[in-house]
Amino acid sequence: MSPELLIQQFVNALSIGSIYALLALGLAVVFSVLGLLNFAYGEILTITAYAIVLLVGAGVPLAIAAVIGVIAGIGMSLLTEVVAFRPLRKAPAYAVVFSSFAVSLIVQSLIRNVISPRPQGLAVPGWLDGVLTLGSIRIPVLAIITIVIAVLAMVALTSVLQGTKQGLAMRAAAEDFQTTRLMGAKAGRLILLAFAVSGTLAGIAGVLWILRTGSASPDMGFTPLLQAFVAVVLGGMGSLRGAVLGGFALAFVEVALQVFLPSAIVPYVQAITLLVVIAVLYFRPQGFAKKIEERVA
Amino acid sequence: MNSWSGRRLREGAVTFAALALVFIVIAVVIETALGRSDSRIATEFMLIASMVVAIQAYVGNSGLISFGHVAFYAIAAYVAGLAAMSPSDKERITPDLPAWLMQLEAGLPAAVGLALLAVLIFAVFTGVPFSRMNASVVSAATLALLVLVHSVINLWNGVTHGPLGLVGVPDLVNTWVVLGTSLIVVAGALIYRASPWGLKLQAVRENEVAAAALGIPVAKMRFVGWVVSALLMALAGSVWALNSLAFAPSMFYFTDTFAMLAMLVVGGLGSVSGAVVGAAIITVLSELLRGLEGGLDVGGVSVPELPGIVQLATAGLILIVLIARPRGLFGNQEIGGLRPRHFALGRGRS
Repeated sequence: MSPELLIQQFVNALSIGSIYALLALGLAVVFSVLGLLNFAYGEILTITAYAIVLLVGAGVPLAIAAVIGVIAGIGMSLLTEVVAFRPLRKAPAYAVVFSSFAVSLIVQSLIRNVISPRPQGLAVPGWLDGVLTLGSIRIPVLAIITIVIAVLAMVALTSVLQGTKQGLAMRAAAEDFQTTRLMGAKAGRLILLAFAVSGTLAGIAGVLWILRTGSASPDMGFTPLLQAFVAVVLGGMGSLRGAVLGGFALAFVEVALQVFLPSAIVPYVQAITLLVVIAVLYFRPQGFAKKIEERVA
Repeated sequence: MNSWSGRRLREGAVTFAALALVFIVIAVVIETALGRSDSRIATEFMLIASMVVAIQAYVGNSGLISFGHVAFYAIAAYVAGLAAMSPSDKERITPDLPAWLMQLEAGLPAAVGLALLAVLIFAVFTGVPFSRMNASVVSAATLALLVLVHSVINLWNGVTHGPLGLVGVPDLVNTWVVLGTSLIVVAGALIYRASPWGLKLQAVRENEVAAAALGIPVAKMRFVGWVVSALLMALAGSVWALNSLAFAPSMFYFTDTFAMLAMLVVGGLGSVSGAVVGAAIITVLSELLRGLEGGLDVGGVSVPELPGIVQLATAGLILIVLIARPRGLFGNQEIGGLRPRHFALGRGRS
């Protein structure tokens, strides 16, 4: 393979990886505080995507629609906490798996009934489909925008976590929630904050996702949910840094399989990726990152 | 540590008698009174209820969620279907089968046996890594397993006939075979629940650290539960295939996974009786609402199409049951273990 093509695929993997990293980070934020996976997580992207499609369809500029879309995503995330998580705080973990799963299906059914069971297309402005040419290397504008937005979001999250008191409380909660409560952090508010952060990250990922795919459908949340699960599991559950690493690792495995496998096998990429993940978990049931953290500590 | 639970065996015997009576009545009604379409629904109910019981054997005893059992169901259905189909049909729609399977035209026992063997191998391979994962990772990993198996079946045209699925599976099953299958699965789940392996897994469910401290091999007990439950699923799944004559990959994915888990949650995870009762409730609810999905006219008033109304109602029911009664209707109780004090009326009279 030519070096130009290799660089193009590298940028491609980097841009997919930054979406996965955002997704994984959003899922891991809630997991690190509550120890529970949110199975209605994909619906945050769905809500964001539908808000954007409907607003742009009504003539609202894309940038404003995107901001409102993220806010709608945060709303969805908070709603999930209030409906599926809070009433079951003392119930066994499996009950929350089911209740969040039920919320996800309710959102999908409502979209099917109220809007349409069919996918809704988004008219993406022409300049987003452009390609930058550096010598013989061609890089899509959208890939660069994706990487820049994702990096900005992660830098912003890091500075909030490192620089504010609430951020400190969240990092502490990720280590040991009970002790953090004993130190005087309000549990309810902390959990709500975690869901808000989770919704923001997933909402931003949702904007990037719909710009990439160009259409919204009722069950579109499933693929990002699965990718986020895989990335979080790979990264060692609950470790935020691990989640980001897991997201990029997943994207690079996917792109590498697509590029290097013979074309007859390419449709099986998703299956092979999942097989690789299960194989990784076979040798390291805790994912990659746990080991590194233990070494530091 | 290695003994059987006498109480669970006694309860299990009463529960088995009660559930067997229900299934036998359904079977007799199918044979004597029902028309074609109603008897299809009733037969389907017996097999789906058996699958929910099979899932219960793992999920109920371990407290771990599995989204992956429908993958066992899919593998069992395809293996049994391919084993039983005539070689001429197979040459037409699944040309890439290995020669021995292409030439095979298996009867009921051989087709079911092959399906059990295939699922056993698959469950052993997946069970080893899954048993070592922590509780919240397992649910995500089993979801990945479902997607993996579905995508392979969907894409492997030469062996599975891709998205179109298998057609021309011979009808090797009558109502009595379905009844026998349901009874075996229910008995299997009740016996496993009372067995030393089942009891140890329940101990792990209640408190993993304490169970491990008592010397219970946690991963090994989870592995046993996974395999037992997979085999029960494969039995019901292969009989389902030989009763259904044609099926496609879309029938082994989310809709069915969700419907079966909903039945389990509503009935109560820890209970075989709960699995059957939950299956009955959700089946009745779905059949009542299914008419609405395509829209209909009621006395001049036309109800518009409501796509996915069954799923919406089921999801709503799950949410309500979980919030009001997180352990489902039966919790960890079996019919055979209920005492009069469990009934408000009984208490009033005594």
